[in-house]
Amino acid sequence: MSALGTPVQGVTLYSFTRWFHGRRYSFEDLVREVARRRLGPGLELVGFQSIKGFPDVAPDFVGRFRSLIDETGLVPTALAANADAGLRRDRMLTDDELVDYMRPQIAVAAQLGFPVVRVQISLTPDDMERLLPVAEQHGVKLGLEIHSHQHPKHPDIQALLERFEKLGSPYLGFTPDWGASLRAVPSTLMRKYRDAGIDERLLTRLEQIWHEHHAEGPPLTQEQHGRWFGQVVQLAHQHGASDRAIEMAVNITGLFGHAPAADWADVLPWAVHTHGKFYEIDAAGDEPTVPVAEIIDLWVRSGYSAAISSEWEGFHWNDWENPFDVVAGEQALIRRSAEAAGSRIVTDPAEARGLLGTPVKERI
Amino acid sequence: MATGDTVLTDDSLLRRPEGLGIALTVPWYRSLWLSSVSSIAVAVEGRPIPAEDLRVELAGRTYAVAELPEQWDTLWFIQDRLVVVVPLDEPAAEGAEVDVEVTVDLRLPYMQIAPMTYVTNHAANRRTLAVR
Repeated sequence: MSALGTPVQGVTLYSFTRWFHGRRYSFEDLVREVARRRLGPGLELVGFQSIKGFPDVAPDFVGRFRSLIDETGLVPTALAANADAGLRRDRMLTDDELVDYMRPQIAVAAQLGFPVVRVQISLTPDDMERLLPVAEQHGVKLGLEIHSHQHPKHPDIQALLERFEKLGSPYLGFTPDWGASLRAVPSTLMRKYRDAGIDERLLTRLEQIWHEHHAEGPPLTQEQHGRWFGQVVQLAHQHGASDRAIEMAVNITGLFGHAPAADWADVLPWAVHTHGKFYEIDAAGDEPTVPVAEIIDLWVRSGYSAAISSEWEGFHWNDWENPFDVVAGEQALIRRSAEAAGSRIVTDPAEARGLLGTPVKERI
Repeated sequence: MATGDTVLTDDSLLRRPEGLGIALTVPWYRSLWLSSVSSIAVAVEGRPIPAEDLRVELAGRTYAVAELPEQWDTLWFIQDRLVVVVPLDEPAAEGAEVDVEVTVDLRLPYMQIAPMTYVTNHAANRRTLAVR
């Protein structure tokens, strides 16, 4: 039995998308606000969100970012990269092009001091193997995100796991996203639909169908997921919500995953970073849709001591709550859950830096 | 996903000699390449404007809507605004209240669901705003 893990508290700026989008905060002010509200020490960014021109960053940005980190005492945890295989309309990027597309994103992460790059499922086991020397060169770990509708037992994830085990490198691993393990549909989304005048019978059916899918278990094939998607589209059409059909299907079958929390055990030894995805915090301080206590118990018992970025995705529809407050609510729940599991969450920046490490450039 | 309500902001309507400028925010959480924009549809005072009459401006360049899917090397940064220029017989005056509806369809280039088929995001936003 491994020693109990002590995960590092953190947040991704993704949680504050709505206010960054709306120009309520500049990038620098958003980072300062995260520090002021003690939502760190861990700080994660989405490259294509926070940095103009990413991955071609302006020459002075690296210096400005490093000064901002010094000023705020935050600790860079992960830079989220994107694998835009569908960049062109005429064809998909070739494997060579996709690997080349990822290269500068990994290099920028190292320059900015991020020890992990979140990468996405468009990358195959072969792509990951080809990116390993790039990761080694820059001394950053690649954490392939396991995001709903994918899940730990999905054949694509199992194929990656098999490759990681074969290669045995500390530079290749996963970024589990808790959205793959929901237990309910967010009530805030239902409220938003209700306020928009969506037929109450459709809302009831959407929740029912989500629970039917839940009983079936997380999808193992594209066909199964396609069938679910089609069911939701059809329901929306039947209830006069054709204009929302795709959006509802993406939400119900794409975002709110069905994997039992215990399924994560397989991949946790390879987890280099975590997205603590959540949607809402209730009056009792619990997260009704994500089984946070159960998940944290598993993470701690597996010896996980990397970062957990609180990732609030409710902003897509929830424009009435303060994103900083809901993130603080999830972080309190995570801390309580770690204590209940006999461990603790690291909030001290120096201790966090010691656990996460920093990129070691040009190792090879 | 429902970031559609973020396409238009309070300061979206701009005076233009051709008619009206409409500043759009990318209805997604990250910057996207212009090639991700499948279509932009505009209606002014409930009257649809033919897509071929629209011009799209970003970072000093101008495009037809139909040219956007080819622009795979130009980023629409999430804090930058894409300005759609709508020709009107009478240019909208400063302070005038105009009812506009904008629909943006995106193809998300990293969310493939089948070969060459990607998750789409449909964002529609209708507001009456003052021209600045």
